[in-house]
Amino acid sequence: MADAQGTDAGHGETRRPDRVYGVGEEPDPRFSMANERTALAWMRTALALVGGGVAIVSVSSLDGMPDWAPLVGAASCLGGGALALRSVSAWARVERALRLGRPLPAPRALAMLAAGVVALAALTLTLSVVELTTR
Amino acid sequence: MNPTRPNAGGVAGRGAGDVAGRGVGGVTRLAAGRFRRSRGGPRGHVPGRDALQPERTALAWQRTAVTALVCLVPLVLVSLRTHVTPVAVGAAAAMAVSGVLVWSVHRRLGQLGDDSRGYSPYTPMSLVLAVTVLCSLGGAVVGVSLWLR
Repeated sequence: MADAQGTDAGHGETRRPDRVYGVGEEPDPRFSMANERTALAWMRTALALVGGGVAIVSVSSLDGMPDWAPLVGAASCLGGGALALRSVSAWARVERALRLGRPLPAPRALAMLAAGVVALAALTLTLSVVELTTR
Repeated sequence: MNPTRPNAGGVAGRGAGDVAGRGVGGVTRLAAGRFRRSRGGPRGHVPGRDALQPERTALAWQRTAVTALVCLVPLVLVSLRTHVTPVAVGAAAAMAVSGVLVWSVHRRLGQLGDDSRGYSPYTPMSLVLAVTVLCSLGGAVVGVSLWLR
């Protein structure tokens, strides 16, 4: 069982990372679980980007596909990887804020994701139009 | 309360995880209602939505682990097809990690039902992160190598 400071693992394990669990007090478990689920939702979004990128790369290996298609797939893969890293760091920041009783950090990743997806879509559209007109 | 019918009687006073672990969906509520009508048992307490949080969290883990596993299948196939063997080996290793993750979700469910306060999701989250980043780098390497050909 965890003590009031949340320093006891309760399951015979050390709670990591220390920069999150070494500070503040144990928050309401509902908030911690909601934070965990939010991070997992971000992770699934990242996995969707990576999966989409791999699908584009796999389709571009077929004959008759545009030369730039693998690059779009690679960009989607890298964006997904970056988003996954961001999701774990955001989970840590929110958990820390919950433990310290501070205001939650702003969800900046949402704007970054929207901008990235719009940029990728615009790039794909532009390259497709160029491909169609030069054929 | 009849101890052989855990969902039929009152569940007040139990931990949220215990309630969620036994399942408090529509089916069990129906079963509890039927039991009350047929046996005249005590009126059951339907817990609030908060009691389902551990189950929802465990399901979120399950979805994420399965997604990670499924995402790697096309990567293995395309890297084998394009003869980028290191990526295929890395993706296969990441698939193994994802499989372990899917299996270990059972453990997470047990911990959530028991006491979620002493648990840190950092380790399994790091595993998912490692799988995602591996898959991402593998896809990027295959994509760039295809473009350079």
